[in-house]
Amino acid sequence: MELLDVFYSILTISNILFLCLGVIGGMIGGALPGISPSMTIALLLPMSLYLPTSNAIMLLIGAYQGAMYGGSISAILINTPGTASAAATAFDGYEMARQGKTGKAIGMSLAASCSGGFIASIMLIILAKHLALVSLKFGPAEYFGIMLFALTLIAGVCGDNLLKGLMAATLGLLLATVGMDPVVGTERLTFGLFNLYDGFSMLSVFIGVFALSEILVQLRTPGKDLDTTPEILDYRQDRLTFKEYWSQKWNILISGIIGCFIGILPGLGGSTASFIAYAEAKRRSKTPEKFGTGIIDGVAAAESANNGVCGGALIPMLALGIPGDVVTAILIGAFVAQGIKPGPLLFTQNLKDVYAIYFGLILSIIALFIIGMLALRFIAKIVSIKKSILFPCVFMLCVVGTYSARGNLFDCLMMILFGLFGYFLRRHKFQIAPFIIAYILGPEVELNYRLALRISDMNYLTFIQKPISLFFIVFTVLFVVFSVFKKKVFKQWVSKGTN
Amino acid sequence: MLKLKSVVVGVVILALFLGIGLLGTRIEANEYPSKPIEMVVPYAPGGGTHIAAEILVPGAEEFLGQPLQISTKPGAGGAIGATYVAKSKPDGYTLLYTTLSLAIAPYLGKVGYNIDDFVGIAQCSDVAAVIAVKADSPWDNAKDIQEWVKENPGKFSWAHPGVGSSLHIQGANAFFEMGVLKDTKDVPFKGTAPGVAAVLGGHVQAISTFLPAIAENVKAKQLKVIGVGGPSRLPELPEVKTFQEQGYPAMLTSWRGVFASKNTPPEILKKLEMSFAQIISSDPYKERSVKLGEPLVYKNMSEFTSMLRRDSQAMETLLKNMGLYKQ
Repeated sequence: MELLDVFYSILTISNILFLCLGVIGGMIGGALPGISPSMTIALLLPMSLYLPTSNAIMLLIGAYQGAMYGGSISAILINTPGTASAAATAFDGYEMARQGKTGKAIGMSLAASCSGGFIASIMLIILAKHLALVSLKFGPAEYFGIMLFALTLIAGVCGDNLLKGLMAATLGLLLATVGMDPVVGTERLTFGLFNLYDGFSMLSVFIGVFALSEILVQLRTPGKDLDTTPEILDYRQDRLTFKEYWSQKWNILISGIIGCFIGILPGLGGSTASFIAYAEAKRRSKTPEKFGTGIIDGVAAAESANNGVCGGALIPMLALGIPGDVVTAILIGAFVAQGIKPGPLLFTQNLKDVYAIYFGLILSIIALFIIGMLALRFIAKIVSIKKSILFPCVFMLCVVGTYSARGNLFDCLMMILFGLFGYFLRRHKFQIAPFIIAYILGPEVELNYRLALRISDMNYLTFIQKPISLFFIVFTVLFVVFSVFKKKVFKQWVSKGTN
Repeated sequence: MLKLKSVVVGVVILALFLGIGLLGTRIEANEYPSKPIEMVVPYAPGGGTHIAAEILVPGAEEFLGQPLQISTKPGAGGAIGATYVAKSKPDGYTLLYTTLSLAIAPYLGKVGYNIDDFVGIAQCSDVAAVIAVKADSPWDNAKDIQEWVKENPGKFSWAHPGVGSSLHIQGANAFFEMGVLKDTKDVPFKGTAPGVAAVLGGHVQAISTFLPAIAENVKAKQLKVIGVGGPSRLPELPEVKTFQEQGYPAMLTSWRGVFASKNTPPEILKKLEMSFAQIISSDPYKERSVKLGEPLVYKNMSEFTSMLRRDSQAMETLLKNMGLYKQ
């Protein structure tokens, strides 16, 4: 059995050691705002060049899984998503932490991350070649269809005030247009500042709107609230029970599959996946109004999806040599330097390497679970720090994190402006979620819409001539019509308007 | 007794610190470099340019006498990092490692530097772009494409990884030389990966890319290469002709190399030129660049600087024809 041979050859002490090292490094990198999963891998890359092949694979794959989970730690603890893919986790995770359920939130995040990663790995192992071919069916028109559908999910996260939600979403779309036009290269709304040439750095928006605005809101709380030690639940009460985990089984499964599928499509990544999964979980939920107030479903959906991306993104990389996201793009470089050449020939010529990567993935999930469990108790303690001490630290972390992403002080300035902007939104009860989702998805919708038209020579029918894009557009329309009637939001809205 | 001991220890430590301090200042006064040198890579960490810069690091301490510290400052097609270096103190402690984009960006919009602000220290590599199509498509060479596009204007689209990227310019250069640039459509995807997928899936007809990104797909006969930019064929594809050989001299290549501010003192520039030449010709560097598939092409300071000026001028005509020129 070749499979068993590979398995035994993988199971060496040094491999396990590097795997754990990768997972720990990834968790730390992911948790630190400003160090994205791709940067974590990029930092480990020079080191991996000098390691034997199997050690290098273990190190990098471990770091990939670890970083995807690590982002949720800071999202939950201090409302600062360490990575863009953890932004959706912050919606409910941070609220849970505020209610003293930090242990549950982080435990759920860990369990969902591992489960999502596992689901996607299984999909990778069984269906890699078929799914890779599916990804080729998606051109700009098809991407536009799927993105359009994702955009309508915003309506679902608007909460009780649809109008304010849509205004927040429009602001998100507007801010996303800043920077160079993606198709013809003219500058838009840059006011001649070349620092805005690429638009706002995504991290400055995230950190400002989530973390800094939260600090500002909290500073308004009167009295000694900031200077008292927050109560936290006893460790035994605050742990995730199996029953709670099992109640999320369908949520985790569906979110993991969504994550895997988004991972397969090159160019999209963890943040898109976790938002779609989050919105989809909310749509499915019997208590959608509880999303955003600290519900465990929200954390489970987002985290299962973003670890699902890992397995998904490896599919086109291994089967076609096309990286599915930014991190796998870097992984390809590392693999090539190790003499592994991901591509259509890998499965026929170097099956051993493929197996090694499969085992690496599965083992990395196990390692992530064990290390995450051990670290959980200590991580959860951070919440018990007095806010008067915690907040200044978080603020410094915000500034340093924003700076480190691009090494550009301009981004820090923008982060502070977005902090004020987020504060304004919160004070006036605009929801953050539609703003962030529109900001992430807007550029994708625009780029693919325009590319599809460019390719088809300005033929607007292209969107309904292609079956996949037609399917998504019809689905979108049905979805909108259905939800308007079902929820009677529309009627309420109209009656409010006429009164 | 105890007190005396601690006083003595204290004095010794103080003396040591002072001694080290004095030693430090003396070196600084006499010799460059006396502290780590920052090398700015204006691209995202983990990308091709960053990795290519990273392999210079191990040799730095041996030949330069100080470590090279790489900092990535991505954004605006390399313009943000380049501007940072142009505005830094010209003392040889802030260098730039970049690509052909250094010459492109000033024409595309406002940047905070002039091409003349930089001198080249050492060219490290030279990568030719290729144009590739799906293996089962009807075109086998540049002439086939040229004729087809003339008959079907507006129907031929080709992918590249972003407006103003060096692959955009190199691809446009090839179609410009074929005389069909205005009848083709360039499709700026977000990076090379979605572009390759779009060609494989038949959504666009061709892609302008570097060979390593598609090498495996070419081997597996999913894609075929139409022509190679630059003066010479690729060692991996000896049978594929350059565009020049096919009668369309598309000569732009994407070089990578080290730059410094032109106001850097000449003796420091000399030291840098010498040290980088040593690093690049060292065996470990050669080994690593082979492993990465980076074609090793070295040019010294005067050659590299004049190449920068020449490419910058060539860019003007090309970008005007592409409708991208904005100055």
